[in-house]
Amino acid sequence: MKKAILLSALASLVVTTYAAEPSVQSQIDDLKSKIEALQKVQTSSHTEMEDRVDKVETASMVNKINWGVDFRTRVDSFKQTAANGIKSSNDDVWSNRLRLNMSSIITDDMKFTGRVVMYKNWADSYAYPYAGMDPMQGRRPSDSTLSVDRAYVDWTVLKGEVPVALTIGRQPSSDGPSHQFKDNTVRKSTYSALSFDGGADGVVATVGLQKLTGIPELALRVGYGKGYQQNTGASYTGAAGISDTKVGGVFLDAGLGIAGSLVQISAVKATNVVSNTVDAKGSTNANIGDVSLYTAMVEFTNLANTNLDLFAHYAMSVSSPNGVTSSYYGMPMGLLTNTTGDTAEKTGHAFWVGGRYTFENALLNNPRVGLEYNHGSKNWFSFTQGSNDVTNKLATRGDAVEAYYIQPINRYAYLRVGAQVINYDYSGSGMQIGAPTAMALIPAPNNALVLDKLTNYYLLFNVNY
Amino acid sequence: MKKGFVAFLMITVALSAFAAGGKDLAAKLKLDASSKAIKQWERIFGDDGKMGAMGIDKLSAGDQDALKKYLTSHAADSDHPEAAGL
Repeated sequence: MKKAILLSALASLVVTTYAAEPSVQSQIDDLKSKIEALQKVQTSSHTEMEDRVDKVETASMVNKINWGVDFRTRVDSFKQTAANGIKSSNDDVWSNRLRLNMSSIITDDMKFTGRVVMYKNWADSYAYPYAGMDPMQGRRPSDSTLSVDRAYVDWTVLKGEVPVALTIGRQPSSDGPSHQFKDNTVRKSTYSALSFDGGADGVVATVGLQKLTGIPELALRVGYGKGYQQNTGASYTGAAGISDTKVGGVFLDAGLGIAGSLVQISAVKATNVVSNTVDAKGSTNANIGDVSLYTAMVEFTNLANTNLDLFAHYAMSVSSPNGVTSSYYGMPMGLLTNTTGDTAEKTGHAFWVGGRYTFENALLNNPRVGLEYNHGSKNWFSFTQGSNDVTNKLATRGDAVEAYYIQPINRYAYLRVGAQVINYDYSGSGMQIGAPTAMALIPAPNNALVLDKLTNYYLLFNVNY
Repeated sequence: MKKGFVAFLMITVALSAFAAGGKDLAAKLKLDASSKAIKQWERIFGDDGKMGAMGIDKLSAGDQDALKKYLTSHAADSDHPEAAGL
């Protein structure tokens, strides 16, 4: 356009100066006609371009959801030893997991994120025990149906110096820090995965404090959700005599002024935890007490540009049984106890440390190696039933070590080969019911049902785009 | 245990204090990573003219690498972090 104006101005100047000379005049006329033709072409091409951009814009406005695919096939080789010393193994358990990720910008201050999942073992529609339970849906092998793993709206209610956002729905509460290193991805959840991993419905308020305090990425989160809601079946009000499990938590996130760093401290309390027990007559579910979890974590991605990622998590669980037990096929089950009337507080501890290193080798697409270790004490209990993988290693009352190698194939796909070795010191890891018991003290025939050692060698193919 | 955790934190913070990040460079040059797809950023880093127009050519080779890594890993079609309120 500017060029056309310039040429036009030049043409006018030439007309004024050389109007008297006929040969120059004809050249000017020729030039003017060429400029006019050029302007017509430019106008037409501008209109055509605008039409095309309109089409793209319309398509992007009509296609309200952006879809992403995260697909995984893995083979696991499990070897286990029961508390009675009997060994068993399954050399190749194959599974497929499909995650369809959704995202959508609704308005400038509102966006939607969701994920539906199919996760199943090959040639099998058998649901993993408890796979239908709320935190585990889509997170344990089941059949080929799709489950909604997460579906939430982030709504920025207040902007400015202290922004406030509400996250409403099925939360980003699974595969949290620091599982992203092993999963060759970025942060995928709000909470430290040592204490919380799995699907969860709730509302979370996030208050941004960075501008106010000058502390990088400082955010305070307050969350409310339910671990159990007694309104199922044909009744609006649910059966009498059992209370909902309500979960409240406070989380403080901050960076350390270093790219890729995250520090988080949190306190979570779940009241009226349920036993989820059954016996021959059916459900014997009961409220068995309260659980509090206190967690601190720190992680660094590409620490000081060394290609090294490091993390450390520590957590304490405080379980307060209310003295109630419910029957599990005749055995009384309370919160970390088998004794009716036991109200003694039970404190557990756990930590999880690890690192990953990226080799700068363009020929091999920069492969990665990682090592993780976690330990849990006798009374350690966490909300990780919908954990990152089926072994729920971070709930271990004992020790777990995992080593892995990631071989990137391209920007989106990679292979991972790894090994997990878990030594259980006490029974019932990951379970809220029953007193944790040292392996040697578990009587027959129950000792045949309790795991003492578990080894898992695995190979997986993952593509995420 | 607690002492070990604190020691880990102190060592890592000290190590990181000297690291320059691609995020800071992007902010300095007023480049929004999510405004372009990965391939579009890669095209820019392969074109001296475009790099010059954005001021990237004035950075050291190391800083250019860090910036490219940041921009491509936070591009519109990259794997985005997820957490409540993010």
